[in-house]
Amino acid sequence: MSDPLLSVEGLRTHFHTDEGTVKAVDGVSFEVSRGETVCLVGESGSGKTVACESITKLVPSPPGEIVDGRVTFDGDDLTDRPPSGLTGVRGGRIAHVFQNPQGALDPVYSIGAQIVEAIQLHDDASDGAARERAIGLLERVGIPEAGSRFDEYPHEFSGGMKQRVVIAMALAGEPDLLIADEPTTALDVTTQAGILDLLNDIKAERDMAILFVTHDLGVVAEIADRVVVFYAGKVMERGGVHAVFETPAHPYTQALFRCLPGRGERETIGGSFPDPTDPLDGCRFHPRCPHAIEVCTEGDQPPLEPVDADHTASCVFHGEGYDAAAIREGAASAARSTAARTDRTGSARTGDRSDAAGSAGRTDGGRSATEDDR
Amino acid sequence: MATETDSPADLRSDAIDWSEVDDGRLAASRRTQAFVAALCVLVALFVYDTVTGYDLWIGAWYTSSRIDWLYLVSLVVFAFYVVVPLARNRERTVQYWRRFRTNRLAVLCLLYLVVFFGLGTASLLVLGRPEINIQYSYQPPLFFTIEAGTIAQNCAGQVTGPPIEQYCHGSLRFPLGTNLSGQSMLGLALAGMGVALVVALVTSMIMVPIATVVGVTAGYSGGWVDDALMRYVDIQQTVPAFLIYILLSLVYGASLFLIVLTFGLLSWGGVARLVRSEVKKRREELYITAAESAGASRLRIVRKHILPNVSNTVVTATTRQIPFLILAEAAIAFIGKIGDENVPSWGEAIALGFDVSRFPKTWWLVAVPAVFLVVTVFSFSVVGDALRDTLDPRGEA
Repeated sequence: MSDPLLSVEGLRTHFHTDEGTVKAVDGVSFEVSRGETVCLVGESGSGKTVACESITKLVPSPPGEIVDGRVTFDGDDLTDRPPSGLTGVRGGRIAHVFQNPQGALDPVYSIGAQIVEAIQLHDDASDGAARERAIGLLERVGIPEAGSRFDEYPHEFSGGMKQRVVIAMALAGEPDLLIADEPTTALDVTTQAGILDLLNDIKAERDMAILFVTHDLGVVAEIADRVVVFYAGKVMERGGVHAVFETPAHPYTQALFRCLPGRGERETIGGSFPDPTDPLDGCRFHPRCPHAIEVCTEGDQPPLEPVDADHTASCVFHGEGYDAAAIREGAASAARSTAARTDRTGSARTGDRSDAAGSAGRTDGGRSATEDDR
Repeated sequence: MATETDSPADLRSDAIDWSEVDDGRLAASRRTQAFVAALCVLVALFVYDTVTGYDLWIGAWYTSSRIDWLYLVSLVVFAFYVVVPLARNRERTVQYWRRFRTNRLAVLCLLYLVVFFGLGTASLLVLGRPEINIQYSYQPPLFFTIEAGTIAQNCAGQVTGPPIEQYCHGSLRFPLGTNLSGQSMLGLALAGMGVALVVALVTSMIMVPIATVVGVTAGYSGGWVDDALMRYVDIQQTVPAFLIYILLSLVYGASLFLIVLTFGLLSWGGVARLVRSEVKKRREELYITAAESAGASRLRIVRKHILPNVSNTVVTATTRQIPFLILAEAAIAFIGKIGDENVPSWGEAIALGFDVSRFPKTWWLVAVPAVFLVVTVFSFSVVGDALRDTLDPRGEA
């Protein structure tokens, strides 16, 4: 982690609306290293997407505003550049794949023309050469008969195929980082698995980093190397996928695992999501937290305290002077829920899965679990 | 598109690509080059015409005004930016046609408009005004009669009846009858078509670019730019173009050129408003964000992704604006004093037809131009509505 590809520090993105300032992202930090998949996990509205779109300043402004924070990409500070100064980075080095492939393709152009456009934005390739490359990309992402489908329009493709086209467009600039914002959420489960396999393979092939946004822990298990848990615009927990899945350290993460549809008893998180225009004092999760104590309701969100090596959680119980054992019980019960899933998932969570080859080989088991859960 | 992709240049030419300014570097497409070439030819002809004073056209134009040149420019624009894209993108055109033809009335009206376009152009460039035959004044239309000797002094057709109450029948020579000076009403109607066509095409050519630029700028920029432009449109829409024309005609003299210019410069507000709201909606589309995320510049996004997606709105809104323009021109010509007396407008023909001493008997003087005017206005309205149903993506099931 000495030289991360992308580093986000203290990012705050606010939206100025009629109802007040929505603090969608309120001071988050995370890092992505080369060739690594980092998953941002959290409920809807927790700020994952806004955090991603803030990296290349895609957040519409106004009403959005990046209030504070530092984004460093491959040694370059992107923070102070105006959006017009980011066109080289966008697509060329950092590419986006969006949740809804339906909308991400312009209906008036053939898909081939759109990929050619993406190629020519970052490369002075001739029309012929760009066309060759576009067909190659379409083949790579698994579009059958890419040559003949090149001139078809988006409406002639299924959702899954469209997402493959969008991925091909994202790959056109040969990016170092692919930001995939819930790329499988709008797709049905079998299609989802195919897209995840594709992303895993491409990542291994190109040594590309992926920043993957999802609310689906099943997907996280399948693709992540590291996990960042978001809640109400804050990072609750950060760590390697193993550490987070086996010993979830933050009560919120534990609660998330407990509401997974697994074999064990399922619990929902009581209470409701905090008002983003008026964030609470103290830990954002304290009204819903079973372990909350007096100190949780005061001050700011607790700092990310180390849990074990390369695993931190924003919870006072992991800080100095508190007994982390108080919430260990929660970790154990959450891990049991996870285990209920892993029973059927096979060795997904227990095997050695830090290398890319391992994750590629593991996806079949992981996929069947995801499907069964639906 | 799918059928003619062997040449790579076709890749970029889907829908309407407006110009080829590409991130600062200028790369003109073949169509743009051809368009510029055609414009150059026109300019050369214009210079020749003004310098030498020779008239190049086979038939003479009615006035010495510049409007015939404007018409030719509009014709070139229309050919390159409406006909060529439709012809190139055959698949899409066929798709549009399939949807369009479900509306039978609109197909009929479109057919009329095609004829209108052809005959209007012919009348402008070749036919000119019908010739005067004083001896054949007030000939009735075919299948109708009028008292011979009193109103129709001579009769081109059959004369029937007893010697004192003879009736002159309509003849094939003047199928729609003639007026006081013996001009064929059919010829006058065709000449009026030319005028209406000029109004429709030239005014659109003035309106479309302004409305598009203003609408896209307001919609895409938002903020104070949007507010300023839309408040200006508000103000402009409260000022009737009709009134402005009357004032200007007092200063510069009445002419069709002035009509077209005034209405062209003052009637784009509604179109711009529609374009703006469409742009605002399109801006929010994910493919715009996707294009941004792929590193496309603002100019490129506007040109490649916003404009083609709002071009349908422009076409529809403009088509629906044309009937008002034709009617306004006819109204001005009808009033007479403020109209261009050299221009054989339908409005003028209707006004001249109301000759108190003879009116009910010589009804065709009014009826012929009025029917043409109504049919034309009606056709534009129906086709405009049908185009909206065809092109508007919101109508898609």
